Amino acid sequence: MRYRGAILKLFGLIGSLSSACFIPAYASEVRPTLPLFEHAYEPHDLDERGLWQKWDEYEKEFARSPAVYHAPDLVNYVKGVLCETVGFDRCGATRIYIVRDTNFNASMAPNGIMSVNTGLLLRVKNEAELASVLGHEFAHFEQRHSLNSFKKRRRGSDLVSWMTIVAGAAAAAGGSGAYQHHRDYRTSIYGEVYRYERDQERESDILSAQYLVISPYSSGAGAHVWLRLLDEDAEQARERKRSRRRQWTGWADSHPSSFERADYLSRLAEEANDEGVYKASEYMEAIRSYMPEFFDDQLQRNDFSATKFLLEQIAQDGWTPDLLFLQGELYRKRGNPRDLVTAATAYLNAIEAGYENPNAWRGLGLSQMRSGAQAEGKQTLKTYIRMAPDAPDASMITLLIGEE
Amino acid sequence: MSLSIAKVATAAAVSLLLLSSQPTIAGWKHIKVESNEVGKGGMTVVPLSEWNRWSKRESNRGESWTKNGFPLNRIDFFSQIEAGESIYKERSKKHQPLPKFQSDMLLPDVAELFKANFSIVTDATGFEVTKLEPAKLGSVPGLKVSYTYLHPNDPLTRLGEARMAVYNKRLYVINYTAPRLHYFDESVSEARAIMDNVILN
Repeated sequence: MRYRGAILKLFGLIGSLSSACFIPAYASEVRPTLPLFEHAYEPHDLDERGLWQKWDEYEKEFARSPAVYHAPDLVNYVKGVLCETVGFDRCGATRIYIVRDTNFNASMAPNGIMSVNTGLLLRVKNEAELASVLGHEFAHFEQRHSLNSFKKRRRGSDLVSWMTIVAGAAAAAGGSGAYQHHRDYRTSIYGEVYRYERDQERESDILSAQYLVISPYSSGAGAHVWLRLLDEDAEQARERKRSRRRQWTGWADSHPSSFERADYLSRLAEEANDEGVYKASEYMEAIRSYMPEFFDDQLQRNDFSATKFLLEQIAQDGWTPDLLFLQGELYRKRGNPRDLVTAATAYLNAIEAGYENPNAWRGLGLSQMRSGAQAEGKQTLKTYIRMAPDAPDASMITLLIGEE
Repeated sequence: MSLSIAKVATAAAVSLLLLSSQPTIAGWKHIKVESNEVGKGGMTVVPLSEWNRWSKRESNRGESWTKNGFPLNRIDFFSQIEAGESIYKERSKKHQPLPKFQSDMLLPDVAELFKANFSIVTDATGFEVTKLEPAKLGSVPGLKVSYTYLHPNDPLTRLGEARMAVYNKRLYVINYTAPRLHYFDESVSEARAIMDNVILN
């Protein structure tokens, strides 16, 4: 963390050489121009019509899928942030779907399906950060990246097929090294496809930054997202004794590294010098009621350090009763003797702060019993059963209370 | 001449080495309606009908059966899990570490251990325990977990029923899961019979 600023600057120098052609420089008073907007856009050529048709069919199934989290309020809120970001005229072409998935991700289909993972909603801290990711996905849509990528991949595989025939003929005619040349060209073509797709990601990042400059949101938020993901990865890497990820962009990577993205997005924000808003409290208010459920999925990942980091990030503006409860759950699940003490304290703090969900008494009682405080634990669990007589585990807990 | 004999001998030795070091090819084994030693002898199970066993094991002392293919129905057996071991086999400590069974766990903790192991290994999301109740695994008192879950980008809601018990300080689990649509109900009564009649070794 301490050296990150210096490393970012060094990386900035390298990045400025490698990606200079992608980063537009604009003075603070010059506002960027967005791509031309066509209302009720219809696919143009055969390929695009085919792609849309495929995705239209997919959407019919997808919209009914139980993996889509059905929360009209939340969907409307996310759509509202998108509309603020890209403009109310442009955003109308999209449909937002919240997908129950702990990974940080969002995706965009060419026909306007925008999927946003619950893991992403847990990891952004304000509307501006959410806007930067939604803007990125919308940029893929507006620039028709899926179609371009499809064409690029098809051209690549056509070329490889033709070269296989030529190499076979050359080898049959006695051409030495024909297969080696074929392998080299094939590798180079695959590399070119990956590079092309990474360039599309950079283009979307840049266009997203431009949306943010024009929108009420601060374009500085874009870099914050990637920096925090790097910090989360560092926590996980330390715990799991593995090397850190997303530091450098590899040959076959589909996206630029988080480090590179943070670098050019922070430089763009510096150049734009816009004075947008972040809207952190509005964001937390909008996801507060959904957070325990989304966080429960994260708690199942056996990812203590990264989850603790995530929780502390969310709690930066104060440990609310529901966050204290989640802290109790996190420590109780790891279950070392010292963790059970921390968990019990967190549950007690949550209850004291006004948390009324019976699960706080459940967690507290189980922590106490496992720590050896049997009588105290049973008493707490009795309170749990009194508060939630129809809980799914009521008969199990009743048995536990009855045991000597 | 002697050189060519040496060459042949070397080639034979190398091929023998290659043959012996080749990985075992995974395959199916027919499970008959008779007494079956499951998980390298960790449990004894008598099914009511025929099943198919996949040779790849989800745990060192476990095995998995299906009738129509794993996406449609599966029953997993895990036996003799010691303290400090995970329920499912931990395939990558660095990328997918699994929570471990601890000797001081209470039965509701064991249910949560199963929930986390299962969610990580199968990439399940929205795992919800619909019922957690006391039940026997064979003749040993333990617990029954009824649950639902999803896979991202999969339109099917899946149901599961697992029973687990701690016997001689070691954890035993039998887990049955299938899509709610048709398949769960089709084999759940047999899965319950297997869980009722299993002998823990």
